[in-house]
Amino acid sequence: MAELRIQPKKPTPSPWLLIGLAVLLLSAAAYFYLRPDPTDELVPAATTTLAPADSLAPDSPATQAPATPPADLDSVASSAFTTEGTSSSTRTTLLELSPKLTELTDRADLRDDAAIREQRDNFTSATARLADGDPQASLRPGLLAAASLLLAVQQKGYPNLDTEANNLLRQASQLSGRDATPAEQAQNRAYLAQVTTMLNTLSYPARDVL
Amino acid sequence: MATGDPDPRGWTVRGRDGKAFGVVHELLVDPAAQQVLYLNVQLDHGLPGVPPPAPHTEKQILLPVAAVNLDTEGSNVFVTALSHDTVASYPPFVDFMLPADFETAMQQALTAQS
Repeated sequence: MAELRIQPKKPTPSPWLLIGLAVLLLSAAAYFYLRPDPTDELVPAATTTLAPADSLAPDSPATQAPATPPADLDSVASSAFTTEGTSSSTRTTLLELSPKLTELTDRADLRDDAAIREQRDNFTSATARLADGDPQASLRPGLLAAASLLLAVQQKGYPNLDTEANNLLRQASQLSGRDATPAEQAQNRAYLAQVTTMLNTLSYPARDVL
Repeated sequence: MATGDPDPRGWTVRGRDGKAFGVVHELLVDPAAQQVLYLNVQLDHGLPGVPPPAPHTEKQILLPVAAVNLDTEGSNVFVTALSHDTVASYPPFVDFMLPADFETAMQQALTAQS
C-alpha cells in the first residue's frame, strides 16, 4: 500500500523585493557616476541675470533682469584699496576678483561668446598657480588675462567702453608682474582699482551703461 | 511532493496482469493531512468494454493511493484489484465534483475484483 505525502512549496522571495533591490543598486550607481564633479562646484553659478547687451531681443529674460551689480563687487573694490601695504595684496585682490570675473562671463548674454570663453580660460590658467599658493608664480599673466577678458566682454556688448578697455590692457602690459617694491605695489593697486571699476561697470546691463 | 516521496504523475498504471491501461494524470490531495488521496488516471483508448470518450474528453478514473503499489524504478503504478480487462467495470470519474457515494462505489469495485 502506497503512501504519498506532500509539503507546501517553499516561499520564494517576492519579485518586488528583487526589483526594489535592483532599483536601489541602479540609483546608487547612478549617483556615483553622475554626481557633479567637485571642481564644477567651485565655479559660481550664474544665479543673477544682469546686463543684457544691446543686441539682445527686447523681451529676452536678460533685458528684464534687475540692473543691480553683484553686492560682492563693492567688497572686492574695497579690498583692492584696504589691502595696500601688504606684500600679497595684489595676489589677494586678483584672486578675489577671479570669481567675480567668472560670474560675469557666466551671464546669459556673454557665456556663449567664443572669444569671452577663450579669454576666461586664459584667465583661469593664468591664475591657477596663484590660487594654488605658489610663491614663485608671476602675477603678470593673471593681470594681463584679466584685462584681456574685460576687453572681450566690452567688445561683445559695450562698444562705448572701447577706450577704457584698451587703456586697461595697455596699463596691464606695462606692469612688471612683481609686487615687491612700494612703487610696484602702487602700480598694481592702481591697475586693480581700474579693473574693479571696469568690472563694476560691465556688471550693469549694457542699456544702463550706454 | 514531500522530500523523498516520488511524484507518480505520468507513470503507467498497470493491472494485476501487468498490462497497462492508463497513465496517472493528476493527484487529488488532502491539504490538511498533507497527503495524496487519489490518483487521477487517464485511461488508454480501446480498452475492452470501455466506450470511446466524447470528443475532446478523456476517460478517467480515481484510484485511492492506499489501493496501489508504486514501482519507483520502473515508474509504474500497480493496481492488483484491477486488470486490463476488468477496468471497464470501475466507476468512471466524470466530474471534479465527487458524489457522496462515489468513494463507496470505488471501494466496492476494488473489493469485488480482488
